[in-house]
Amino acid sequence: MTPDIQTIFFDVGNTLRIVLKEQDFIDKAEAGLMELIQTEESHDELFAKLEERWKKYRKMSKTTLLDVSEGELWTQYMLPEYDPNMVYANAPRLTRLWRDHDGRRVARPDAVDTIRELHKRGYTLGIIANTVTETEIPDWMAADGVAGCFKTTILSSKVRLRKPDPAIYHLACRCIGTPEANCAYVGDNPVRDVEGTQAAGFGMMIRIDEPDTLNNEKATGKEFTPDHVILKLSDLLDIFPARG
Amino acid sequence: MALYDIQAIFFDIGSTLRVTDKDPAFIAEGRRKLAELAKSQEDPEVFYQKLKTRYDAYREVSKTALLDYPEIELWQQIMLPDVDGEYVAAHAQAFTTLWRDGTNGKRLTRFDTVDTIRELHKRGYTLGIIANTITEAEITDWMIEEGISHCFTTTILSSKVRLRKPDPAIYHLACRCCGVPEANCAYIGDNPDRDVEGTRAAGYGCMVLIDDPKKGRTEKMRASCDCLIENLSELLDLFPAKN
Repeated sequence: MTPDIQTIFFDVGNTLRIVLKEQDFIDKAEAGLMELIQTEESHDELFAKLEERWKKYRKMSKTTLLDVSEGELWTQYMLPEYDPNMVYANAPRLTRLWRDHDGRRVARPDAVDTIRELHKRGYTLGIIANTVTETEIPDWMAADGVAGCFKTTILSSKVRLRKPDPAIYHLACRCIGTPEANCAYVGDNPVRDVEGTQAAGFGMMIRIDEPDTLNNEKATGKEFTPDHVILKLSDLLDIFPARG
Repeated sequence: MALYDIQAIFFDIGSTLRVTDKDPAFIAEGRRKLAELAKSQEDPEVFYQKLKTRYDAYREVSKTALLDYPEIELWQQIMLPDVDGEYVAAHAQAFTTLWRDGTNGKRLTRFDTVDTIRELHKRGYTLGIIANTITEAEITDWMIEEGISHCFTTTILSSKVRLRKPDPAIYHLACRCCGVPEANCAYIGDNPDRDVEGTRAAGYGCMVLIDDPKKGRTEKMRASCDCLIENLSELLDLFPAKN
C-alpha cells in the first residue's frame, strides 16, 4: 500500500544545502575564530588541537547518540582551557566560524523552489538534522525566505538526541502532530538516515544521491534500502502530488 | 536513598534560582517595546492583551501535550501569525525577552544563588538545569553574567529540547546527557505538583522544594518532598563535599 504522506522531514547538510570549499572563505573563518578567542597559539597548533578534540567529541556523540549545546561544546570539549564565560558567551559565533572552516554552505539550486512548492501543495514540512549549530539553520531559512514553510525544526544541538536514535524521529512526529506512518524523510546518508527512519516507522524514506556523502562514508555493509533514490530535490515534485 | 549517594543536582530556574520583581514601570516599558518591535499601531496594552489571549491558549495546549515550541515557531505560528514571518523569525529572541519583561517583570538572582552554586560545584557535584521556559537564550546569558556558566554541565530548557516538565522524559534526557543515573540525581524546585510528580516518576533519588513560608503552604510542601528549604544556602547542609 502506498503510504498517505502528510508530512515531509528534511535533513540539511548535503540534502538541502551543500558545502563549497572556497579557500578565501575558509581562511577568513579561521582568522575570525583566532581573533575571537584572542589566542596566542599559532594557526596550525590551534586548528590541529581543535581537529583532534572535535574528532574525539564526534566519536563520543556517535556512540551515545547525543549532542551537547553550543555553550557546552565549546566550554567543555573544544576550548576548556580558555575563560569559560568568554567562551560560553561567544559559543554561537565560534560554532559558525568552526563550520565555516569547512567551507561556505549554500542551498542547492532547486531547494528553495522545491520547498515552496511542496508547502503550496499542502504538505507539512520539517527538519530533523544532526548539527552542532543552534542558529545557522533557522538563519538560513530566514535568509532564503523559507522560514514560514517549516512547521517544526528539530536540531540535535537543541533537542540533544541524534540520528539514527529513533527517539529523535518520534519527538519530531510528536511536535508536528503527524503519526510516523504518515511521514516521509529526505536525507543523503545511506546508513544513518535510512536506519533511523525505518526503525521509527516512517512511512517513506527518500535518499538523495550525493557524491560527497558516498565518498566520505565508508561502506559498512549496513546500508539500508530507501523507498526512493533521487538525483535532485526537484524530483520530489514527481513523488509528492498536490494534496487534496 | 541517602543524600551522600547524590552525584548530580538539577535546578529549576523561576522562583528557585531567581525570583521576579513585578515593577509596574518595567512591565509597562516591556509592553511598549514589544508593540514597537511588532510594528503594531495598536495601543501597547491592547496589543499585549491580544497576545496574552494567544499565549494562554498556547500554554493550555503545551501543558496537555507536555511540549514547548522553540522561540521562532512560537512567535511565527502562535503569537504573531499575522506579521511577516521572516521578520518575526529574525526577531524571535527579542520578542521573547520583551514578552517576558512585559509579563513577569525583572528577574532577580536570589541573594545566595551564586555562592551556593559555586560551593556545590567546588564540592564535586555535577550541576544542571531542567526548566520549562519559552526563552532559549536568557538563562545561559544570565549564567554568563553571574560568572557561573562553568558550574553547569547540562542545561535542559523545554524551549530547546521541546519536552516539558512533568514529562519524565525530560528528566531522563537530563540524566542521559550528564551521565548520572536517575537514582543519584537530586532536583531542586519550587512547584509541589509539577516538580515533584516528574522527578518521582523519573526515579530521581531526592526532591528538594524551596518555599517562602509567607505563602502559607508549608505543610503541603513538606509532605510532598524529601527536604523543604527556605533559602538555597541550606543545600550546603544537605550536600557535603564529595570524596
